[in-house]
Amino acid sequence: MIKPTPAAGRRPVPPPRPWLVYAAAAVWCAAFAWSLEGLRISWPRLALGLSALGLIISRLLQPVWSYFPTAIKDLWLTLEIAWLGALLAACFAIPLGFLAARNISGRWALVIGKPLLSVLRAFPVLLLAVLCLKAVGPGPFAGVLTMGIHTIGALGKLCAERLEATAPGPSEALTAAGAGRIQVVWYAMLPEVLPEFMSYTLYRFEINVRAAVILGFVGAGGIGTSLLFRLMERKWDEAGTILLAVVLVVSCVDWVSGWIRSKLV
Amino acid sequence: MNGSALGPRLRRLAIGCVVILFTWMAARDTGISVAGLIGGWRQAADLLVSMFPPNWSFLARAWQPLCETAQMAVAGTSLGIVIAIPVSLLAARNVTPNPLLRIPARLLMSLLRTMPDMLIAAIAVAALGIGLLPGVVTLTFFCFGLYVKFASETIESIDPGPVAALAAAGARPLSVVSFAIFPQIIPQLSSYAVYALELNIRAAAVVGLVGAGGIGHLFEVTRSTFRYPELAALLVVVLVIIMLLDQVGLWLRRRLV
Repeated sequence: MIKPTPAAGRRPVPPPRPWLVYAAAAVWCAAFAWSLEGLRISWPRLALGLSALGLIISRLLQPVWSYFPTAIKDLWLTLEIAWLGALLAACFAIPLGFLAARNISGRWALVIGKPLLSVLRAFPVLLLAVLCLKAVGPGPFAGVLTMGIHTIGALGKLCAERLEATAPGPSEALTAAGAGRIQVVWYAMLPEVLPEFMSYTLYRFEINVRAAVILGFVGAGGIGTSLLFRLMERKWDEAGTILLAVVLVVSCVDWVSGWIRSKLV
Repeated sequence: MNGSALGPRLRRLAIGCVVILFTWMAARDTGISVAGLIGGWRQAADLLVSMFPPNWSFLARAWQPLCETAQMAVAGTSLGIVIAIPVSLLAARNVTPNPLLRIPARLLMSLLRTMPDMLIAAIAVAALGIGLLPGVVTLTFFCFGLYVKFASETIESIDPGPVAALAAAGARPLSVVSFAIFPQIIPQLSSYAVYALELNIRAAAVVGLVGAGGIGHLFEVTRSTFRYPELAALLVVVLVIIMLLDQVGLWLRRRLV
């Protein structure tokens, strides 16, 4: 059963701290006992539920192909929501990234740029979704807004960090030749970082696709809404079709986007 | 090689056209409009204002759901890890050289990981009804998918020496696993267990939105009955707890590995 593979440049296994491991294990077991007691799991109901779950999964695994085109059409809308969200975020995140980069905006970065980005990152998505749904009504537009605003913080942080890591050579050369600050940013820094900004945006798009499926559950349009309806109506075969389409499309998007990113950077 | 013969400029132009076309279609289909945004701006601001001041006395009622959220997370993580460890032995290349066993195990795992947690929750709620039980089942599945990846990668990186020594001395597979493999992976695995628990607590806070119990359910109730000061208090508390949890988890994980 066990066939050792030859060792190649591995790091030594760190010595474990036994007391900490035992203490953590004891705490964990106590917490598990507390959980089982608090959850008041009724075992007959669990057994019944699990057999129902097994039945449902077997039904989910029998997709109806006639529904497949509709599912793909709904998923297309989800992809569009995710894409516009990533694009909207990029429009704001790149300027904010410049504002938050210490080597470009100096102390303004610490006073305005970085705090603004961390507030945007900490803002709960749920609250954002509620606000956007209230502002523009349920539908894909609310999804785009939620996705976009939520992504600004993460994308802006990545951009700022990348800008702070730019090579000093070209900027110094341009400054020495008498270029102004905007010219330095435009001709020395932007060409270096632009491919990576595009790559980050694509990466956020991949993450957004998964999140956009979920946003549909709270009324922001796309495949999530149709899936929730199918589940509530107990149309397992159609729900299974949607799940199959989600798995296929998410894997495809990851693959294509990963391929483009490998070409960009 | 045909693509590069066309020249990079032409190719870039083609990619640009595709991107612009997709963006235009997306803008049309999702119905985004600046006018709508300007019109709705006031309503969103009104909503935000109506959340103040947060109703802190409501938190007395949140205590029970908060406990339930933690209990769901702990139970789900524990069960998920217990199921995950044997499967991760199957998915690790150095323990299971047989591709007929390993490849299906890996395929199943990557399939499970493409499923967002809320999707699993929605299915579990449909099967088991509203309550804490579907939450536990969801978190078990979620943790299982995650932990198999962590654990199988850890197992693949062990030092093969002890395994070879025990196998050469004629130890049975089970003894090899428990005396040559486990001692090497326990520090890593316990650190990953803490990490999985962190992720599961975050997930546990939201699975209630689709009916799987815990604090998320209270969110949904306060939101759908427009009790915004209560919603604000809940959001603040959950935010603080999650930020604290991040710090505790980071500290613990540093000590464990």
